[in-house]
Amino acid sequence: MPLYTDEQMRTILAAYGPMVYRLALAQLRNPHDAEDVYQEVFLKLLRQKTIFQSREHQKAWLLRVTVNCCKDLLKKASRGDLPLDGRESEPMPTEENEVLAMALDSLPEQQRVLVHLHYYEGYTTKEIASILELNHSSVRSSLRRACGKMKKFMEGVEF
Amino acid sequence: MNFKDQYQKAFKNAAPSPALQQETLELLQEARDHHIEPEQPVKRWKLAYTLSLASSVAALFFCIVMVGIFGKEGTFFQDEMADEEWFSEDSKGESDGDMNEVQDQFSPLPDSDKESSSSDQDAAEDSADKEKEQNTTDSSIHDDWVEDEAEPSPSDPKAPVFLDNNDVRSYESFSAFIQALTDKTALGYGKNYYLARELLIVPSKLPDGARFRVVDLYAQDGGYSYSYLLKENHEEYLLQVTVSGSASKTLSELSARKEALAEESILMKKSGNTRTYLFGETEKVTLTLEPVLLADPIPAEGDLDRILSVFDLERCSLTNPLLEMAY
Repeated sequence: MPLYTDEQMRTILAAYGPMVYRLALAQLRNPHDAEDVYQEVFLKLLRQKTIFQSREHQKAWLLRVTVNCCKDLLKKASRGDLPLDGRESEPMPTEENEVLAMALDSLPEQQRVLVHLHYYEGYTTKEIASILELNHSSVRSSLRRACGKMKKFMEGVEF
Repeated sequence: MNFKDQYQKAFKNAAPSPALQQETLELLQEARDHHIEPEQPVKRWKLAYTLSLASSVAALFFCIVMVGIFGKEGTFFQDEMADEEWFSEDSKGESDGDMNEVQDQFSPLPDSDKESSSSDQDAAEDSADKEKEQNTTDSSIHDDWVEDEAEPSPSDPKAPVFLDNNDVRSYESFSAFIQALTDKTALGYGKNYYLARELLIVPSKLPDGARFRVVDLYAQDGGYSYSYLLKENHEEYLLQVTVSGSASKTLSELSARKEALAEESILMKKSGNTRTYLFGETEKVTLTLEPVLLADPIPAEGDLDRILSVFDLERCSLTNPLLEMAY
């Protein structure tokens, strides 16, 4: 268990916290659940034994763990083990994006992750496949399907 | 506005609240101070492990007993089997052929395929590849999504160099790296690449064979880091440079940062394989000497002192002649 100093923990939270929170929010569409996942992810980071080779390695680890924590939360909620905080989808942070919110709501959770990693974090499909340990071609085809669905809601918007 | 801009705008302000950050920090401190043990493996793993161990021991015992009982009769079985038609030399040859065919299916890829697969991974960061990715995002449901992407040509100076690890990209020269950053900037990947280009810090005495390796250019807070692969006394090291700070909003802020980095540095902190310097009043730069391979020991304090004295770090701008050199 790596013993991070207070300063290191602050640095990590400052550097990666927003990324983790945003990914959780994109996946769960609810800020309260995203907050839970945010804390869970950093607790896992504290407990894990991996020595990171680089920042990129650490970042990829955090992204993967965030996705998995969100999945676990959704799984528990679907089994009824854990009530999610108000299952109504939270609107996007800016209210003017209702159409975007509707488009994202039409996607399954996994596709939302791909959309977020690609369009927000700027990862290529190859990088996403590597981070999430998925097949590259399935990432590409899933993302393509996601864009196809969203296009129906967002006519005239260039993807 | 295209989808990417709209999406980024929508999530730009989504961030954990200061209260949540503080609460999380306290939670982490508490967890650390109470030495929370890593989560224990689930008990069924223990059971599965015990069962598999027991069955292995039983199988081994069974084999030993069978060899003991029938070992001497082995020739009898062999002779008898040789009489069978399906085990004659001809059919045996066919059988071997089939086996070879099966084996071929599982044999490793030829070297060229392996290289292309590796460089394929690395090529993700290459600007040409990125440009292609950008094009695909512009037309996400075009056929480009399913076509194989072009391999970088080995003669392409921007082609990444594959090292031991496919998490990172490497460039043979500074100029190639600078060009990649310029391409990134031109493609609209944010000002951090521009900053990295403008605020690059290089050792002024890089030895032959040194390579430039981009570890990460993280784009969230304006900080960035990169590494040099250095060889000294037959040992290879990675010297990682991390520049922390927030993204400059204006050109004048950028100029101020450049000026700060041009000033003499003050050694703020010296600890093991890490040194932190302060350039000007605010620019904090951390140097960390790391082993190339994860399994190798972390370099000692003395190693870093020696490396720093040999390579003489200095701030470097695009006009530095080093950037024009290819190694």
